[in-house]
Amino acid sequence: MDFLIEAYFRSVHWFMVMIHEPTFRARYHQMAASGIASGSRRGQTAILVLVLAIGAKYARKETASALFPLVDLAAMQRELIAAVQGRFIDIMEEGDIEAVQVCILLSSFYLYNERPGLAFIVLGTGVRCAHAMGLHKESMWRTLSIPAREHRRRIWWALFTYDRYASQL
Amino acid sequence: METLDDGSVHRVNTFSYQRYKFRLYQVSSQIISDIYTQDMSNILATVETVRSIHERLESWAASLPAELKLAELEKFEDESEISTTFRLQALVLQSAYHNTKILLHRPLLACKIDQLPRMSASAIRKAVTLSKNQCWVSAIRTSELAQYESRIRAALGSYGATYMGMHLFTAGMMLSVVALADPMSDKVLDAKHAMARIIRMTRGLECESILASQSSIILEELVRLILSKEMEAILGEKRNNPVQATMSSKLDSGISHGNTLMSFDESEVQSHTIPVELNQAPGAIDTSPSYFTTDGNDLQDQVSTGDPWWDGIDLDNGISTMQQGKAVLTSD
Repeated sequence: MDFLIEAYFRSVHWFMVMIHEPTFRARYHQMAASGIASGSRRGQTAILVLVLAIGAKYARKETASALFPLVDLAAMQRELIAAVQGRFIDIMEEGDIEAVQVCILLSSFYLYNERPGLAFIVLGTGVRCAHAMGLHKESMWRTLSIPAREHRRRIWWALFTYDRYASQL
Repeated sequence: METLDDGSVHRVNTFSYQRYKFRLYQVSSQIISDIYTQDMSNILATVETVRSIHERLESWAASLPAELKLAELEKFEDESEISTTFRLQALVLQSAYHNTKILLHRPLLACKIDQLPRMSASAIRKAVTLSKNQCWVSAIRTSELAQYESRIRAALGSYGATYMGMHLFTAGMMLSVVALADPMSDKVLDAKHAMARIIRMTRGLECESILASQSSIILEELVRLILSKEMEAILGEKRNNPVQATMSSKLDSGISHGNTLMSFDESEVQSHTIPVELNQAPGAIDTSPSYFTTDGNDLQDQVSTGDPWWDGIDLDNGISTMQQGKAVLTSD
């Protein structure tokens, strides 16, 4: 899993910053150490799963087969995405910033894996989640801490640019 | 150094690219809302909108720090991870910038000069000339990214490769329209060299991006069409060789198997597919640094006065040539 996460950060993170790296790594270590992902925070788990799935695509194949000869990365990727798809409605219902992140990550996965129609629809869901939580109005964030506000700002602008990019396609 | 929205000044880091990208998209967002979705009947208003957005784009380019300018980064031999990240970010940012300029100026290319009211015709004509020139320059600049791209291609990944592939395709189409508008013009040689560079890049990105491989196919066929029209113009006759349906069927099978990455409007794609069989071996592509016309200032285009050549060129002619090729094909 470490290998896939490094692949994600190396290949995708420079292009679009969708997650806060230190927070993500801390949560990942906690989940890996305990072996438990909290059922009440499906969004966070989904983000981890998506990072692994996207990392599986970008992992250097020669290195992967040398280090993990028995692992079929493509099959793993399909299973991971299927897991997120199966719980998509629950993740959306949970809402909050993780739902938006999940939508953008999943949508971009579809876009770069030959399913542009689905990418567009999932992006739309992300935009609706964002509106529902007031991500477009900083005046609604007053009770949040500064790091939380910065995080929201980043996710909002990532959503904005991705939406505009999609409308140009 | 980078100046943030609150006025504070900080050292540039690898997140700076995101901020500059957000600002670029704020500007380009206005293109879609104020131009593409508006009624084009008020040309003067459109001309003014294009002019003001153009200025915003130029200010944005001028605000870029050295760490996000390809020409500046070339001065350093540093191959560290941060340096590669800056190069990747600078590449996609510059590619997006040129693409945004094409998107901005393209709507004015369809302007019918002879149907304009007399009072405003002169001002609009001048603006349309500038827009044609700008689209051309931006397409050429996109092709010139080849001198930087090959060095970091391996690190681009699907996201970067598909993003750039889209911009390369747009630039290639623009070059083709100009070349087909007047196959005997001086611009055709530059267009062919630029297309060669673009196709070299899309081919290099194919393993990371289906869109890039689809773009390669279409652009290669457009090159064949350009060469065919050049031959017709030189020999003064229409070619008698039958056209082959290779292009259309390639696209059809690609689209039907859900392999199209972009949500192309199918009719738009097919109107650009002109399968013409020619046995032209591609010439050697000159990629030596001296060939490229950039002088380190490639973000500031010198189009303020406009090239009068564009006054006489009818780009509609280029577009209809593409469509006629398709019509000949479907009638066989």
